[in-house]
Amino acid sequence: MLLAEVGFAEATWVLIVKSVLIFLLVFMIVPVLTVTERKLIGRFQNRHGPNRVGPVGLLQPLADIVKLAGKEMFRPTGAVPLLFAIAPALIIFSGILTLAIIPFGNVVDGVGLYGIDVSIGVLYFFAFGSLSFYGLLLAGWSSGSKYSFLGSMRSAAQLISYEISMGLALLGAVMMAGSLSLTAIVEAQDEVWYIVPQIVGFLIFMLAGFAETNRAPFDLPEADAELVQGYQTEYGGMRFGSFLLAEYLEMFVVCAIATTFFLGGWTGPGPDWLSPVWLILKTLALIFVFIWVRATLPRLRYDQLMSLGWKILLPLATLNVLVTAILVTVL
Amino acid sequence: MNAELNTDGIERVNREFPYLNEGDVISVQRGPEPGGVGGVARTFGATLKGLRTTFARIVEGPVTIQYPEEKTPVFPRFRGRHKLHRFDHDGSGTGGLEKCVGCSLCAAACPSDCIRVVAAENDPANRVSAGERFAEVYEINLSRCIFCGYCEVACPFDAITMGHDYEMADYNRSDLIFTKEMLLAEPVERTPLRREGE
Amino acid sequence: MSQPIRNAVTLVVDGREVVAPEGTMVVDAAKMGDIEIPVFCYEPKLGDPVGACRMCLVEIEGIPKLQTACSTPVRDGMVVYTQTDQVKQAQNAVVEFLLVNHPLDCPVCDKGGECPLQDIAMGWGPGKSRMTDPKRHFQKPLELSPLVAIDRERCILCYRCVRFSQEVAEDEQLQLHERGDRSFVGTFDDRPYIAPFHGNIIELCPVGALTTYTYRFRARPWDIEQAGSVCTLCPSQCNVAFTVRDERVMRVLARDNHAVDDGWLCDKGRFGFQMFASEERITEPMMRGGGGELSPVSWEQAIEAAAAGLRRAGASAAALAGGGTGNEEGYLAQRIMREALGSPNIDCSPNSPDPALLAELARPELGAKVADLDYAGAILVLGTDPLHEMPILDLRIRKAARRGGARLLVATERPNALDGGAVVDPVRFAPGESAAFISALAGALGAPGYEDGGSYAKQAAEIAAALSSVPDPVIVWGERLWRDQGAARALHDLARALEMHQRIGTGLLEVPEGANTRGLREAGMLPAGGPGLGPVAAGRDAAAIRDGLAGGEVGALLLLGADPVREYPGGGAWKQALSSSFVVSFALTEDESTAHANVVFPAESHAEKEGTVTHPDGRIQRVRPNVPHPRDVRPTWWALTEISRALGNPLTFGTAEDVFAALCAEVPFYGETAYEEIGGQGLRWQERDPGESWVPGRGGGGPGAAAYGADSAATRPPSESGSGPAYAPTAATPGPRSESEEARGSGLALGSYRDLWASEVTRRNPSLRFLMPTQRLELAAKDAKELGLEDGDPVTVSAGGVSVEARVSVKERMRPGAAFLIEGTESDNGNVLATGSPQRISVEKRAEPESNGSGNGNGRVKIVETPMPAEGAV
Repeated sequence: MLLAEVGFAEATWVLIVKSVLIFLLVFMIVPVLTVTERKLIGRFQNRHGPNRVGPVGLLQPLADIVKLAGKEMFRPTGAVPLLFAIAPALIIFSGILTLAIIPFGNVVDGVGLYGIDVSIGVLYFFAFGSLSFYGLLLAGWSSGSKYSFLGSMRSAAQLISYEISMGLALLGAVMMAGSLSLTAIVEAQDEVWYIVPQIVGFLIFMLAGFAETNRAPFDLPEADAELVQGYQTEYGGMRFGSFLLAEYLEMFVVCAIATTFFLGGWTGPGPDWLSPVWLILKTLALIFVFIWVRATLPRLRYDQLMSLGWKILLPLATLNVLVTAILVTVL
Repeated sequence: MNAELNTDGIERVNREFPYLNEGDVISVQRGPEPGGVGGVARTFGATLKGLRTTFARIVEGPVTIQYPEEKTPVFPRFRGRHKLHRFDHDGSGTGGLEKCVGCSLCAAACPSDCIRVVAAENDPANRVSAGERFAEVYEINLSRCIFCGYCEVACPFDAITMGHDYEMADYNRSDLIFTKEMLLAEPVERTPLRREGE
Repeated sequence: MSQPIRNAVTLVVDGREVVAPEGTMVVDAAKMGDIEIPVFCYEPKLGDPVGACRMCLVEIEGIPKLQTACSTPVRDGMVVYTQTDQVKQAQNAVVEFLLVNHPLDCPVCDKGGECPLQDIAMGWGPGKSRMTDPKRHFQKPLELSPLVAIDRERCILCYRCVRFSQEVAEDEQLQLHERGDRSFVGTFDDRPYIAPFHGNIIELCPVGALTTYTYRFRARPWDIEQAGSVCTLCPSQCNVAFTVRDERVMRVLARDNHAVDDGWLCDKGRFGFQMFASEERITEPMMRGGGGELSPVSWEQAIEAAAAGLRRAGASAAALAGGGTGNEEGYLAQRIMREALGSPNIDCSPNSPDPALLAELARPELGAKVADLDYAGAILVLGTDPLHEMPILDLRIRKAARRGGARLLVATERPNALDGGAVVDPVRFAPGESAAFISALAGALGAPGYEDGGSYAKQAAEIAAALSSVPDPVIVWGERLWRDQGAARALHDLARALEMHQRIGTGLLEVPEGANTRGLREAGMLPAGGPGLGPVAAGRDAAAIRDGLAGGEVGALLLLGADPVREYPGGGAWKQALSSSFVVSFALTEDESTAHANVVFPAESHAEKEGTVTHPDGRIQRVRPNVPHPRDVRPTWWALTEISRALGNPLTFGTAEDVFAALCAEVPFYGETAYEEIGGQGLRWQERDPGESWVPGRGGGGPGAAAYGADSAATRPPSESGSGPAYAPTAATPGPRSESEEARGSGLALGSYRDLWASEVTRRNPSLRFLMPTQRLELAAKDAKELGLEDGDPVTVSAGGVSVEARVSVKERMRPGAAFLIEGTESDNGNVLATGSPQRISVEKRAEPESNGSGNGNGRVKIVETPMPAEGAV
């Protein structure tokens, strides 16, 4: 049964090599992101951030991982053992799957610089991105703790609320490109990046992206002051580390998607083989915005979160889609 | 509603209220209601303002003092860890003897009851202090000490003074009970002293 | 002389009207009006004021010059000012003068923080000194005695210590030497000041001039806690306050109780605290294993073993309580014996009093209290030496003779420290012949049934004349009189003949040998007396227990702080008796009896114990815990209830107070006394409810079951019932022993006495060890001459096949033909020879041992017994 149409396909061994490379690349980036975030937040607060482990604190993530790996992976008596164990894996799983469709470049020397180019790219992203919600919900529920459960309930509500706006925000770009394939969308931006015509869509996507990745100011599910880390409360050791890993993974994916849809994807001056560098640079720029926003804005109240999602973002996104549709049709 | 801004900045309502004196009712200025298009715009503006504020911090650079590598000097009257003193070798015959005679006045003055003194009688052949009596046990429990300096004030022989050392962290509570030998020992000068006028 | 009645006078002090009894000094009267006048030398305990320090100057209307408030008695209408400029100027000047030569070394000085001079200089001093010249210097600190150091620079010459030595202890050793600013306190020729009460000068000194080596530099007033208790080292039962630092007793202070000790302590009580924290203390239960060694065991094991041994003996078990045992402990011990084991073999002293006679003597109307001595017209010291047996009573008798004008009479077998003050030549009866003398005295006083005659007729007549010529005589008699058949009965009869039961302030005061003997007797620790001295089935007394143990009729022995081998007559026989029997001992330290014990429990010292003791005059006093029990020591009352439980007789007591309540329920005359009621000063049960008269000796009967003097035949064995007083006077039983008459030529009659320092306490307190006596044979000069002996000669004293070594001590006022040994010395114990019955000894000179002075005898220090100055010498 054919699930999706693939635009360009190589030999299987090439696909395997590509997937390993992408997997490694992203997994190399995550530790850098963690230390970068901590150092940046430090700078935003006139501090140094971590600077004790290794040169200027660069080995901090290694130390964190060693520490987390060295801890006992305990499980509360009230927890559901199997679900409790697979929930973090599920979250990582969904993050990694979405990596497959991010286009790091066009076809160079007969090799597409992406995992896979599917004709339903956007749907694929939403389909697998939403799986992480199961991870959160299962983690919270299977912990057998009120705090965890409340955190996961919040994240469920939050993900549902913002996923619609997020989809609608991308719809404008999809309509303009006339394709769901991500490579096609990138190629459609060779004249002007969609951030210009679709600025509203971009902003809505970014806002919804904060919410989707559970980051400040929408980090209600883990709100440490009230829920003591929400769904993560009962986790320890490397399982807890998996949640952290997934958070940064998702952040990277969301930023890469935003780059692809609004910032011209891999396009940039220089030879073709530089295109992955461009994509990563643009993505990192967006990640910087994520961190910047985290250092600036306080956490929203739950009702503010809901009213923002339903009363502002959703109508705005709908309006954006309508206007875009009209303009695309008219022009 | 008629309102007028007085010189004191409080807006008083110029309307007659039953049972109240004139000027007892003031009007309160409130910010614009949240929500609506204006609300969204204001929120967006405020967010940008916030982003600008935080970004300016990066430009400023860190202000952290990198303690233990960097230290701020303490003032001369800073009350750090106690020191016990000996007489100087000035040829008066008391050189090297402990100034403390074990009178326990410091223990009496201590509000946190952290000083323990057990006195004993001097052996004239082998003097410890200049007087008849000396402190056989002199212990300060630094985990209880509040560094108020009353002991220094109470001491009739200037035998105990507050030093400048504040780096006393240790792994065991029992290690924080400083004995006479530890207090008498020349302290490692780990803390820079603020110079005159600094 | 009875207590004088004083009129109240009214005076005005600083505008405040004060009512005070006539004769009060202005200082005390001002205190009644809450006005403080500073004093240094004034101390009413020391006798008449001297006005030496001039600190208490006040202005009195009508007198142009300032007067010393301490030596000016109040007058009606007197107007006193203590706050005028003139007074303040004088006070400032006095303080400034005192500080002219007083070194300002308060941080070093031991008195700092509790120093009257500091307080007064702060409160009434000028605040600064104009003195720039050098102060006077003495060598310091000097050893005034092995226990007391003197710092003459600090002395402000208040005379307090000198007055104590001269007027209270009357040893006259301390003197003020030189004149003017060279004056200093010292002894003649700088000899050490050795006297049994000299520790009191430390407490008297208002500055830090006199300090004790046992407390020097040990603690400051803010380092210490102080709490009151009662010393149970001797029957004086002085009220003491323990100074405790870091859960250890650091010193013992007197707690002024006029009714008991007058604020003085003997050196044994004052310095006998080092044993509390001694390494030699037994701190966990021990059992004798197969190898004959005592080894530590758990409390459960020890209790089980003790109970098993006692259970095996059953009704043939026995119990002996030592002097320091509390009422509660004695009560529990006798319950274990009587209830759990069904054994009547219980005793608390080597002398076995007749319980019925004892009850008669314990009647409230026949007993004198200590304070009665102060106003007694005459005091007869009969068969006891208070200095050795109840030291504080010695001071009290001296005070009565010196200040109260009491006529002092002495009738003892051994020369007595009070002899010098006796108004009639002291009577010396031969050892074991007290009954003869007392019977003669009873006869001379006209007691029915006694004959006026015998070999002591003349002396008895003199004493009788002196006794009956004054209104309120008090007779202080020794427990030892019980040893002589008939002596106590004769004493009882002569007291009735003197009509002591008709008056208040006169009576008999027994000096027991154990600290709490009276309490133990009243708690039922008697072979034939239950709680409340009530009649019970008679059992064996101490001597019979010994014989029973040796003969196998007594199966087991429970010792409560008793060391019969060392302290009871016939020590050798005790040793043999214990070594072959099952012995359970509660002991503070290992002693000569624990050496034969099978199970040893750690006992509590009086600094740790919660309980009560009863003073020889009937005052119930509370012993309170001041320091925690060392290591695994547990309350003795608890251990006794556990033993009782293990014997199948559960006693449900949660606290010592519960035990006391049970004791009170069984002793009718203790009533329902509560610990709170006893308080800090004690409570004489005789005075508890003057409306009723409790009659001891009616076990189970309610208080006041019969009017006193009436017959109580119902509760008494029929053979003893009679008419009139329950104890019908009977003819004086044994006259002077014919045996002694015939034996006069065949050797010396041996007597023995308990020396104050011949006890375990001396050894266990390092500071007192220099006082430990070695055995000495006291002889009259005539006998010594006949035997060719001189003072200090080493001799071997033997009787009945056993012998001890001693040195000859020729004493004045000895009765020729009598010789005395000390009981309870560490080696050569006199108890080996003195078996409780009259003995003849032979004395043999022995070669001088090579080392001069054996071990403990301190060559430098000679123990001086304070002679009392003869009448009129002061």
